[in-house]
Amino acid sequence: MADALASGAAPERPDRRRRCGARCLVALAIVLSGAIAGSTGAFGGTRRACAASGNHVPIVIDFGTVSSPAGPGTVRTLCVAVGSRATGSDVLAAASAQLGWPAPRYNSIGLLCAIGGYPSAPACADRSGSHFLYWSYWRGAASGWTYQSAGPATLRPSSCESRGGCTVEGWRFVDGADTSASGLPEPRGPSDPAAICPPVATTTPATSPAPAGTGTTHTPTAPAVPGGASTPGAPTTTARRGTSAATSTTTPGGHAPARHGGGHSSTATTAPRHRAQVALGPVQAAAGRTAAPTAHTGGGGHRNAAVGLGIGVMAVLAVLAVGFVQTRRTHP
Amino acid sequence: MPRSLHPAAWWIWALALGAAALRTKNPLVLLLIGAVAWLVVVSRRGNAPWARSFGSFVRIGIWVVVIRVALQVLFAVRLPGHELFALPSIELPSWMAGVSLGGPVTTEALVTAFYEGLQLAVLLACVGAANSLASPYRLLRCLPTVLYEAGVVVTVALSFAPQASTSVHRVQEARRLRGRPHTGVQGLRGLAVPVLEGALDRSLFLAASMDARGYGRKALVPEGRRRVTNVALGLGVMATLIGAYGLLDGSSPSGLGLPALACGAVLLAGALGLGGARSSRSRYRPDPWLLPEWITVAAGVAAYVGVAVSARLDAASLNPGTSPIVAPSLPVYATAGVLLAAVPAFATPRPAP
Repeated sequence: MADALASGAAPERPDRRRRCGARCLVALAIVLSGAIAGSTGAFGGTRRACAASGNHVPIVIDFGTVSSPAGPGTVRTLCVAVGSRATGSDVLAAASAQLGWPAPRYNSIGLLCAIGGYPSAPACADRSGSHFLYWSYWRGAASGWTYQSAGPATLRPSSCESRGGCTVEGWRFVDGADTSASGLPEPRGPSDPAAICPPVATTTPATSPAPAGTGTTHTPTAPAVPGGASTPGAPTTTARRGTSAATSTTTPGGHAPARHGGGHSSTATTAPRHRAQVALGPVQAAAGRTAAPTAHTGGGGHRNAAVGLGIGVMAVLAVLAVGFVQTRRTHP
Repeated sequence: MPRSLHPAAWWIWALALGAAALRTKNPLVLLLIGAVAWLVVVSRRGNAPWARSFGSFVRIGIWVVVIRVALQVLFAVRLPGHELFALPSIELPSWMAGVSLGGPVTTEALVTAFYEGLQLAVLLACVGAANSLASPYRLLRCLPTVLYEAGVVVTVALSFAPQASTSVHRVQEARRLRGRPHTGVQGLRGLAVPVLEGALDRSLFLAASMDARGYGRKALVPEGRRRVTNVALGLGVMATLIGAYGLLDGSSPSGLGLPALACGAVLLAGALGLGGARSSRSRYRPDPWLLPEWITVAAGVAAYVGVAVSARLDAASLNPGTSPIVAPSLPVYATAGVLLAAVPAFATPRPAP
């Protein structure tokens, strides 16, 4: 009897149910599209603006012994400008942007997969034989490096402007085979923050406002020749020179890159703290190109992706349309 | 000529489609799988009470997505990226690393959670498709003889979801006629207990009535052979589970899936043959297994094979990155395979009215 009742009342129920389902779906669609819109740059502007507040964190990125896009054994040493309360991921993202690299890639549980597009796409802490290939996370102080057991998204490195002083964010790509009895190999950059982000001079530097109206300043990015000669093409004044915004050092066995920097900011100890906020000077742009050949997919790649997306959506819609036709036919 | 398809064919089709959904987090492929399942359901479901369980499963799936996103926002690992908003957070002790309470919520985290929730929802939709296409009673009839001894358990396990689905309609109708709230959260409050109780009751009634017809009775099998059969059955189920894990989880060591599955299948077949050898049961009008059944099974397997080939050739397109977010691309083989899975919507006989 209940079945009879159910079928008797059927005509008004599917309607109501469809409305509820549609409401849920619309809510989900709004959430998702809003999220994606946020990721495509609307929020990038605010982050850049934050970055101008003058906090700096030193970072060392060591590609280890495996052949990396930047050549075997490249070590990058930077002092990056970040917003207040930036996380380790923010520092790494800012450093990648400054070097012209693609954004760091993470997997779905927040594990860091790739820096500077290395290793390339699906690889994420993959196994190679009996060991793993992964990026290890370190924190450097004057006393040496400490391995970090928490992820970069939860740790907030203190900036060099803060009262307690700063520590170096260290990243080293580990080939499990490197691991010796003494433990994991450490990043091969200076662990002392003062060597990368030198302390502030006591006098306030007399500076002119940033030359460009965009709010970003370009500084000599490749390090300067000892003595502080400015790089051609970069708008510099004596007040804003001499910081090692990006240096490349190589291991003894490695190939020295063409734009090989001098020592670790030997000239910078007295330099006022004025650093690149978004530094993509000519030198660095070139460095970025050589360092990460996979960084910039051409326009063709984007077009292919868009075509694939379009075809996929069309396919889903087509299947749904056929379904509606079938509904009409089978349940008129 | 209208007839209902063999229920095992529908289940194999649906499970293969669900296995394909488990291998990918690409929202395009997942939505396509869901759309194909829906198309086949609306084309070939009958008028039986369980034919409407697909809708219930889809609604549960939508809730799964919503809850997955909410859990990500509240508790999950803080994924780095573009911060949308920040919830007030509590610092947890270091031994609870990996769990967080509140904190910044990023686009990347939301999209990741949505993809994972969608995967689960599509898997649920596939199971819902099988439930609404295949008659649970006919499925019970074609169970192998060995499983007869676990009669009540098997009956309840197989018929609970369809019974619950019909039970929901029944209870909602009764509450509506009595003027009680029957929709939304208010309606849910009075729904859960009667639905669960009713579905279990009806499944037990079914099991009892089948028992009365000799279904759950022990066959006259010697003790030694019964023991061998049971051990082989247990080992076979275990090997099948390991094999299924190897096939479904892309990160498991290669060479585990197929051999373990084959080993399990041999053990199961042996156990079923051994256990059923002495039983002298006849079947009344057995369901035929003809060309449409083969087409249905092949269509489901095609979807899985397509996704597996795409996973081997182009793993990145099956799991589009969410940090940084990349637009999902369309893997060719997976798409073709999933579209092939829609063939049963047209190539099978219509169900009897």
